[in-house]
Amino acid sequence: MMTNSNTVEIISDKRIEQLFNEHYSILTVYANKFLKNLEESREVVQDVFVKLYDRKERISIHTSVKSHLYQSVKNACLNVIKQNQNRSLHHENILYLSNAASYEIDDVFEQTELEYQLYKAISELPEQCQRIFRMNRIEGLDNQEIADYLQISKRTVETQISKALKSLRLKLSPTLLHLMILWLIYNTN
Amino acid sequence: MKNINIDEDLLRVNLQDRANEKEKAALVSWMSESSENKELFVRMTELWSSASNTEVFEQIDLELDWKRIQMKRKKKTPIMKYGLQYAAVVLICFGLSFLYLYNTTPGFGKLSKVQTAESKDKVELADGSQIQLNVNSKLIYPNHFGDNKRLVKLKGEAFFNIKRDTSKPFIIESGKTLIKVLGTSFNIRNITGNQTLVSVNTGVVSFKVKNNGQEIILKKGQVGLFKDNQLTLLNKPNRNCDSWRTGSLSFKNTPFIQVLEDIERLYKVKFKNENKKLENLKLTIDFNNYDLDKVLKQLELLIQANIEKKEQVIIIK
Repeated sequence: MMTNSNTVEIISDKRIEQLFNEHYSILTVYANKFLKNLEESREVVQDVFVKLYDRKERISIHTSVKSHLYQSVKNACLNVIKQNQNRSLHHENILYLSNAASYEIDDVFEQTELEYQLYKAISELPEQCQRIFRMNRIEGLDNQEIADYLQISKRTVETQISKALKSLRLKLSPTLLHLMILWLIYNTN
Repeated sequence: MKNINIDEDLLRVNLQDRANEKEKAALVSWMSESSENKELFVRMTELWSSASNTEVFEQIDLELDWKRIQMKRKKKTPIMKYGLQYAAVVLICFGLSFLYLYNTTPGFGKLSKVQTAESKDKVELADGSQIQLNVNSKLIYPNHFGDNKRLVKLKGEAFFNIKRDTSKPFIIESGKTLIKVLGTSFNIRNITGNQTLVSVNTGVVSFKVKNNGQEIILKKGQVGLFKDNQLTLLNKPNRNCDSWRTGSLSFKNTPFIQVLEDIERLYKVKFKNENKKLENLKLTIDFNNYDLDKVLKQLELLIQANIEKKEQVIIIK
């Protein structure tokens, strides 16, 4: 389906599935940062994907599809926040949502992407190493407690966490570098 | 950046905030060697703090949500044409969501939940530990305990009587705190998310804050309070911490205001004291499961004042 606009990506059904696998989690967690409700966030992003099947919708996309998805999710979140009687969903969030023009300069989106890369990298750690790292960072247990539960030495726990750090650092190098530059830009002005 | 030399252990001990003076200095000195080193440390701090936010990704089931999207699409087109297909999608959807729910929803299989509203409740866990819940409280616990520990989550107030098992420490997650025990009885009150009170009847309990170095050890008769992000041992713990459970109040040289507060909490009433002289009084008296009227009568005799129930308030003259 070609139109006469500049560059239009032809989106097949198969492509939609690819886009889903690549972006769904990030978009959902991104939405969740504003809506603070995972169920709702999932619904919002699902609806955006459902709309993608609509032929009229598909041919009217002028930016990259990722950009389109990002904008659609943002707009949908805005609508949800406006509709909700619940004021505790933060006035500032609405202002924030409407200001960031593209996902490339959206801090929160960048942060979500980092978290996703991190999540994937953590799940690729060797079993014992991963378990220990999660008990420490996600469950909030300290080194001694982890050692007690797993019936291993505290030194082993510490070594495993250090190993995890090394592995994650190497895996995430490119992503972090990109963020680093942003961090430096924002913090040296 | 991959070629930078760093002692990962040194990095870890500093990120975990467990570094001694020597280790802190070593890190600072390493950072000052080059700007790449500095950058690396900043990156690692970023990574370290972001790690705790990754849990939410675990809750997203791509397969399930993809099916949901397909179902939503079908809803838009006439169902008749896709009859069989629709039924198949629904079946698969149910199967997948069952697994998803099994693993994450209390009461569905692995985990159970007991919740109270207007009345109290009791529950016995797989290891024989007994827990009494006060009103408006919630406890989430596994049907079977793992090999290494026994972990439950509490919101509200409960009294724990834990079966001793040194190989499996018992841990309660309550608000922002973790309470660890070996085998003892104690009360935990966590009414708002940011405040938790633990009082120990027997045994020893470790009371600590998640993701933070703060920890205190509580022994029999001691009470710990987590409030405003501070963990403290209370000097004059309230003797009537678990009156909700025993139905009794016990006062020994207790300041008058405190006596009124404890009665208010147990009987869900409100006092208005119009007699300023009484504020300096210290009372010694026990109310063993009395009803409110008896309590008020006894109180009247003791303080030699006039107590009158007026609509929602009890007035002392």
